[in-house]
Amino acid sequence: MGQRRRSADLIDSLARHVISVGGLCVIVAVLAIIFFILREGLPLFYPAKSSPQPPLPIPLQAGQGATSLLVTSDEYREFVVTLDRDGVVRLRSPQDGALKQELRTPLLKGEVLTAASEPTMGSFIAATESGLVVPLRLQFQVRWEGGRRVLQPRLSGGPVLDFERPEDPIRKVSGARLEGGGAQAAIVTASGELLYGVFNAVEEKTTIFRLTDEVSPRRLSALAMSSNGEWLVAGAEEGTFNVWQLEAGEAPSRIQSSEASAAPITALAFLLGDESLIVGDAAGGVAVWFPLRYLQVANTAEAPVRFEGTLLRPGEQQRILDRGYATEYSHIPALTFTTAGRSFRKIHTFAPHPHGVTALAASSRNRGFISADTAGGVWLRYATTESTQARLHAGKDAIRSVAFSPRLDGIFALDAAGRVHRWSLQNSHPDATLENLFTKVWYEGAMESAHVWQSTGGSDAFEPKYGLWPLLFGTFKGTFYAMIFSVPLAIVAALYLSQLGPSRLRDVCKPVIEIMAALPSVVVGFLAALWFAPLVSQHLATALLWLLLMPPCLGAALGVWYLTAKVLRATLRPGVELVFIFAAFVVAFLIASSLGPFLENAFLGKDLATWLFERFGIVYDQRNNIVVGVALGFAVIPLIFSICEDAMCSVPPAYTSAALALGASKWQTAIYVVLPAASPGIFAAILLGLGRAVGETMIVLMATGNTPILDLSPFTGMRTMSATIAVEIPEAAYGGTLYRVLFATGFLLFAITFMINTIADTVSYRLRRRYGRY
Amino acid sequence: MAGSTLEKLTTGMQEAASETSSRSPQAHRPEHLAAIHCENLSVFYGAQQALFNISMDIPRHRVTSFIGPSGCGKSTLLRSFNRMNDVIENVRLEGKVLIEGENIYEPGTHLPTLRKNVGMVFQKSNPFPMSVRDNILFGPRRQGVKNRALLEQIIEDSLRRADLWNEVKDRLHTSALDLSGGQQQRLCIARALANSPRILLMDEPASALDPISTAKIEETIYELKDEYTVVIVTHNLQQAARCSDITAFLYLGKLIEMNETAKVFRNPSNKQTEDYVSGRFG
Ligand SMILES: Nc1ncnc2c1ncn2[C@@H]1O[C@H](COP(=O)(O)OP(=O)(O)OP(=O)(O)O)[C@@H](O)[C@H]1O
Ligand SMILES: [Mg+2]
Repeated sequence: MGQRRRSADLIDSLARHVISVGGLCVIVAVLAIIFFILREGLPLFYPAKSSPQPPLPIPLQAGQGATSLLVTSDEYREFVVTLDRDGVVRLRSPQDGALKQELRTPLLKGEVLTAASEPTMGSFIAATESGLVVPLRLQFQVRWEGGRRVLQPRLSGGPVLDFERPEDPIRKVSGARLEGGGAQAAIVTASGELLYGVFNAVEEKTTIFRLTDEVSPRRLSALAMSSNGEWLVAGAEEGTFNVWQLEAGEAPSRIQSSEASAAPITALAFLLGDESLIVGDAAGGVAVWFPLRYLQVANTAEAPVRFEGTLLRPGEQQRILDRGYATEYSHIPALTFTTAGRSFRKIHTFAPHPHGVTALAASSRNRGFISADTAGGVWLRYATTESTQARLHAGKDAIRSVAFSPRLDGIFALDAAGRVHRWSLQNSHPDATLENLFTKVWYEGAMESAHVWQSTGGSDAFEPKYGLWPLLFGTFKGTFYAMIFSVPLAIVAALYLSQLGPSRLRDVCKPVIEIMAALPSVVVGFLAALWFAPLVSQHLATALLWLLLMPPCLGAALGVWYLTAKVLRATLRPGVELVFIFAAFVVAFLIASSLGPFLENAFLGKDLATWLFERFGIVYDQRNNIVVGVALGFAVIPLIFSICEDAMCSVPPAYTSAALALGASKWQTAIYVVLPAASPGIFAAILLGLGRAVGETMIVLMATGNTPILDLSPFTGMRTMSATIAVEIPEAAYGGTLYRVLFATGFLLFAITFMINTIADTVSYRLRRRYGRY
Repeated sequence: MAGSTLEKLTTGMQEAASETSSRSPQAHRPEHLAAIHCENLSVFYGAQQALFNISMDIPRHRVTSFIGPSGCGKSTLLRSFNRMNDVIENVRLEGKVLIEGENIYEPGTHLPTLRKNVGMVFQKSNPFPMSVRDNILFGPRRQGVKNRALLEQIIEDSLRRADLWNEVKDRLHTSALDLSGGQQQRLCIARALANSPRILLMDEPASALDPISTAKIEETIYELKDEYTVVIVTHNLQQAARCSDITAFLYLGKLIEMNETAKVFRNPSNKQTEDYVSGRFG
């Protein structure tokens, strides 16, 4: 006896330990997952880190009087590269400033007066005292010698543009290479002339255009040409700037003259991609301007027409931002739209420097840039997020030139005293801040700020758009449509099978519905995308009509059922109502499938989807919310159903008998007693279904079309967080911004499902306490 | 031992009898129809037969009690009066049950109406997990009563009849589950009364309660018979003796004896009945 007691105790304590260890393991595993997700996602929000290194005094070369004009570096930061006044490119050690190499080109004769660097790596343009403008290129060949990297620099140049003005020294220069060996450049001379020259490689001749007369205030103080050669911008001391659109070889056409600032414009530069202009002024202001497309809208009718809230009188014209009005207003023929070109508009304004801006440098990899001022301030900015990521100090002297190292891991600044300041920089994810993941951002090329998710693009200059809002929205939109489809069905089915239907039916249906849960979601997604979606889009009118006809048909069927029971003066056997319901389905379908095409032919003259688009501008995507709602609903129905059914079955029979004995019908008992008593379970079922739908991946991946749009229409698709992670993680570079943003998305998803489940738990606990004291 | 029991029973009965005579104003009413009339009623649970050819008449405005040892079919018989047996699977029934002249096993019988007229109180109190008020109004609302004043009236009336009004009138909105066991059972009685049934079936309504609650419920039952026909199942012979006018003794699914309560307890015509009421078995 004692023996047995002892062994029972032993088993007891063993079981207790095994269970606690198991439980602990689960908790540890969950925590580990959270930790891992956070470890991958959090670095996204780390601030830029920079570490200053002591300034490098570049010794004046004896007898040459050399001062550096601009600074840059090679890809590996092995050299600090300067272009000096004597026309020599000098490579120095970044450690001690020791001169490593001097590179010369025969193209540079005499003193270099001014120079500019292009954002593309290792390209400068230099202007000499003899009036020549020479594009230069510094390239490094990498060799490996005995396991050591050896960089072999090479300086090339040309073609030379001769502005033929030796008597009028060049003050500012900017230029760009053209395809096929040509080049173009613009200069501002000491006398205030603005000249634009194009070197044609085929004819080997330079054409010069004088733009001075087109500039209203003549004292030009800044100049920039985009590296794709499309834009030329000249800023003036009056705070205005002029923009020309360049067409190689033709006279430039001035498209804009704008007031940018009250202070003189002192620096201009283009961001990577040539779609954003950075403007710096003498008061320290820094702003980014986008070239936006404009439309000319005219009212050609005899009567006034309402357009975007204003009344357009007959013949009146208006110039507006092109926000796709042409298609939006295509149904009003009185309005004609003509493109009205592009002009720059100030979009992002940055925290101003306390002193005048002297130099700007754009990153060659992202939308980052550096602005530097007259008092040694070197500020790191990011255009997309409109943020200032680091404020560096380089002594007291004005900064003459700044540059990123090509890999963005260092910043170089050259001050007026000839010193080079260096910082090494760690700023891996400037384009995703916690704020801009969730707020509207004005991206390049867009006509307004918006929530956009578009993580990859066609070119290196693509600006990634990490707006999580469309994904969140898509997730909840898909979930919403799935829930409105599945919740009523599942609850009604559970109520019917557990309370009203014949028990034989329940014995068959319950396992069948539960087997539905075992259907791999990829199969559901596949069927939805390749069979159901085309079917619905082909027979849209029929499908919608069917949906519309279901409630009245069901009502009618139940009415007939009730009357039959009355007339026969007999209680129909339970289960007979199913025949009526089935009949209602069939009848509704028959009516819909014959009426749908008929109505389309008779009234619309075309199919419904086309008509909706033409009449109301409602877009119909083949993979849309209806499809997703049904497919996703199909996946969550078993879950909701079986939990609801269990909850309803476990409602104490004492309640149902009490209700029946009080003269309630079976239906009334089900609705007034079973539903409230099972409400904790039902609520938990709905929330668990919600959690499942939010996290569901394969179905939404296949059936949503994956378009990250913000649109509530049931006829359009969506893109969910889970599908985005699944689609994009394979192509996201390890440790890259996209990779980390996806992890952050994963964490968000986790947090949402965790929250839903917690709510499910607490609320159902409360409800159980209220209803469940059986 | 047996004698003393008998004595007690007899005194209880005498009290009951005297009270009956003093407070039955309706005794003179014509009663050409029995409240419940059953004929050759047999009930089967699957293959097992639980009731054998029961025939009886339960008169109006009387309290009829069913007594008998456990498993003899009292509850089954009671449930066949409002067709609550239908809820149980595999039940089969033969014979007739007429409630005020109408065969309730006729096809086309409207069960909700039947059960509204033949109310039932279960052995274990089973208030809904709702407020006291909603419990009382459950029946009337299902019956489609909408008039507010009427509903308020029903609440007060039925609670007063069930002798619960004074205890709960200030807590009509609290959950019925917060009441004590005895109060819950009286609430169930009030809930059944709210339907204004003609017949009230009670299956051991006081079996799980303390003596004070039991006494209150017995009092309630006694008052009810003025307006209702009451059928009560009980294991407590004293209870049967105290509050019923007619007693039916069932044994192994058969009706052994049914007669005026005084007669059954004092002078049973059947040996088995005598053994049972004198406590020799059961
Ligand atoms: N739901 C049921 N399914 C099968 N058999 C049942 C069922 N209910 C009762 N029985 C059987 O019918 C017989 C009569 O049962 P019943 O509940 O009517 O007895 P009772 O007189 O009310 O007993 P008690 O005094 O213990 O309540 C018993 O033999 C019982 O086993
Ligand atoms: Mg019983």
